[in-house]
Amino acid sequence: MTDPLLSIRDLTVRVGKRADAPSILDKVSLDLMPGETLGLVGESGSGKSTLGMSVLRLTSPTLTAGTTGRIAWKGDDILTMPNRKLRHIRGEEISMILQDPMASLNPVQSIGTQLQEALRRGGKRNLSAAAEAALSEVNIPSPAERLRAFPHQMSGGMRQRIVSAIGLAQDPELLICDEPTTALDATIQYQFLELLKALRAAHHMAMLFITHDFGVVARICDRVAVMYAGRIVETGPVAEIFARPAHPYTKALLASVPSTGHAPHRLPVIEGAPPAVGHRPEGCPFHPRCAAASAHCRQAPPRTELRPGHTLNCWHPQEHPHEIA
Amino acid sequence: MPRDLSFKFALGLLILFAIVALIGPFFLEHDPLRGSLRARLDPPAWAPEGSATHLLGTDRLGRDVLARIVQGARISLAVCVVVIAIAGTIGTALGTLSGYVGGWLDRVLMRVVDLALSLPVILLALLFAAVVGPSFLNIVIVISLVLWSQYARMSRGETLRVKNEDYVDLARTSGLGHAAIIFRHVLPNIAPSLIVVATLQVGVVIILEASLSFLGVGVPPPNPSWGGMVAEGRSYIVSAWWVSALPGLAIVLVVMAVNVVGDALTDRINPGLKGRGA
Repeated sequence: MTDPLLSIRDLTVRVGKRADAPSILDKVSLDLMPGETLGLVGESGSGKSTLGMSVLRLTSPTLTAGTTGRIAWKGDDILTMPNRKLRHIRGEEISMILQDPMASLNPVQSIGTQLQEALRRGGKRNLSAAAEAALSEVNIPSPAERLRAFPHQMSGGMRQRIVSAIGLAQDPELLICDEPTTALDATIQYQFLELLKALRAAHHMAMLFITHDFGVVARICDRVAVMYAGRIVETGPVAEIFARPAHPYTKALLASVPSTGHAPHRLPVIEGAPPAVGHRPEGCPFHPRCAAASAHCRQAPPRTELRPGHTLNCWHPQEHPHEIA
Repeated sequence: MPRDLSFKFALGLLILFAIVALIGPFFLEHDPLRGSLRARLDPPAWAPEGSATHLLGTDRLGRDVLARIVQGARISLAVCVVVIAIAGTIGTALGTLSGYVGGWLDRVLMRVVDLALSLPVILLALLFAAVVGPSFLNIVIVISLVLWSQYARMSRGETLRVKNEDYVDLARTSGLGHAAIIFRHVLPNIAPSLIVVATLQVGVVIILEASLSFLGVGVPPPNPSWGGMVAEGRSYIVSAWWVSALPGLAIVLVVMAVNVVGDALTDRINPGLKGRGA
C-alpha cells in the first residue's frame, strides 16, 4: 500500500493558545491518497473551511497559535516546517480554489497578469503561450483576447474557471476546493464539476473537496468524511456511505436531500441548530439533536470500523440500510 | 455649471498654472526680484494711471507683480509637489505596513498618527523657524510632518479591507511572499483612495504655505511666494490693493480648481469616500 499524500492526525484548532479555549476543530484525523478525492461534508460552522485553510497554514494568527496535532504532507509536518519550505509547497504542491469567484481575482489586474504571475512561479517560460494554453484547458473561448480582460468583464462561471486555471498553473498534487460551486447556478455547477474531473485526470492530482452538497459529493468524490461540530463523525467510500450511512447525523443529512423520485410534501429536517463554538456538548456533539441518543452519548463515542474504510464515531451505529426519503 | 464642465474647466486651469510655473519665468520681461524705486506701487494697466509696462502693477519696491506671481507659482506649486510626494510616500508606507502587519506595530504607529494629527502646524512652523530660520526646506519639513498622517490613516484602513479579500488569500496559497502581495495586490487596490487624498491636499498645502509665508516663517524674502506677497501688500491694501489681491486671487483660483478636480475624482473613483477627505 502506498503512503498517504496528506495525513492529518489529531488536528485541534482552538481560538487562542489556552488549553481551555473553545475549539473549532477537535482531534480531526484523516488520510488522503495520491490521486484520491475526499469530500468534506458538513453544515455551516462545522469547521470544514478551517480544516482546508489549516492544511496550508493560512488560518488567522489566533487560530494558528491554537493549532495542535500533525498535518503530514508526504511525511513532513506542515505545522512545524519553516516558512521558506512552506512557500514552496503552497502553489507548487498544494493549491486552492475558494467559494466566491467574484472575490477571488484582483480587480485591478488583467486576467493575463494574474495567470502569468502563477505560471512564472511554476517555472514556465513562454508566458503568453502558456497562459493561452491554460485558458484553453479550462474551456475559455478565444483565450488570447480574454487575457487582456479584467475580472469585472466576466461572468461568475468564467471567473471560477480562471481561478482554477491559476490554481493549476504550478501543477499541484493536491487541490483544495472550498465550496467552489456554491456561488454558481445549477447548470454552470454541473459544467464546472465536469471540468474539475477532466482537470483532475489530466493533472493526476488529489482533491480535498469541501462542500455541504451531497449531490456534488456523489458526482466527484471517491471518499467522504462527514463533519459535525468540529469532528469527523463518519467516513467511508462514497457508494458505501450513500448505501449504508451508519451515523444518525449522516442518515439525517442524507434524508434531507431532495430527490426526484417522489416529491414529499415537506423535506425532513434535523431539529435544532448545530452548537456554537464554545458551547459544544460533552461526549458526542450530536447527541442533543439525535433521535437515537442515550445516556452513553454524554461520553466520548467509540470509533468503530464497520467495513474496511468505513468508520464512525458513535455509540449507536444504525446498521440497517438507508431508506430513501 | 454642469459637473463635468466644471471638472474640465478646473483641470484646464490647473494645467495652465502648471505650465506657467514650469516655463513662465523664462518669458518674463521684468526681474521678479529687482524693482525700480521710481516705479513704486504703480497700478495695473487697466487702472486710470496704469501703464502697459507693468501689466499687473508694481509693489512697494517697484517690483513687477505679474513677474512675482509667475515666479511665486513655481515656489508655491513646488512646495505642494514636494510635500505631497514626501508625506504621501512616508504615510502610505507606514499605513500599509501598519494595516498589513497589525498587532503591536499597528497600535504603536496609529498612536504616532494621532500625535501627528494633534500637532498645531502654525505653532510648529514658528518654533522651527525660530530655531533654524525660515527656508523652503523648513516649510516642506513642517507641512510634511503634519500631513503624512492623513495618508497613513487612509492607507491603513484600505489595507485592512484589501488584505482580507479572497484574492489575497489565493495569492498566499500560490506561495507569494508578503512583499509581493503588498506591491502587486494591496497597493494597486488602495491607490485610488490615496490619489483622492493627494488631490484634496493640494489645496491644503497651498493654504498652509501661504499662511506660513504670510506669518514670515515661510519662503524668505526677497523670493516671491503667493502667501508672502499677500502679507507684504497688506499695509497698502487701501491705496494699492493689487499688491495683495492679485496673488490672493491666484491662491483662490488654484485651491478652488484643485478642490473641484479632487471632488470629481472622489466621485469617479470611490463614491463611498465623499465628504471624508482632508
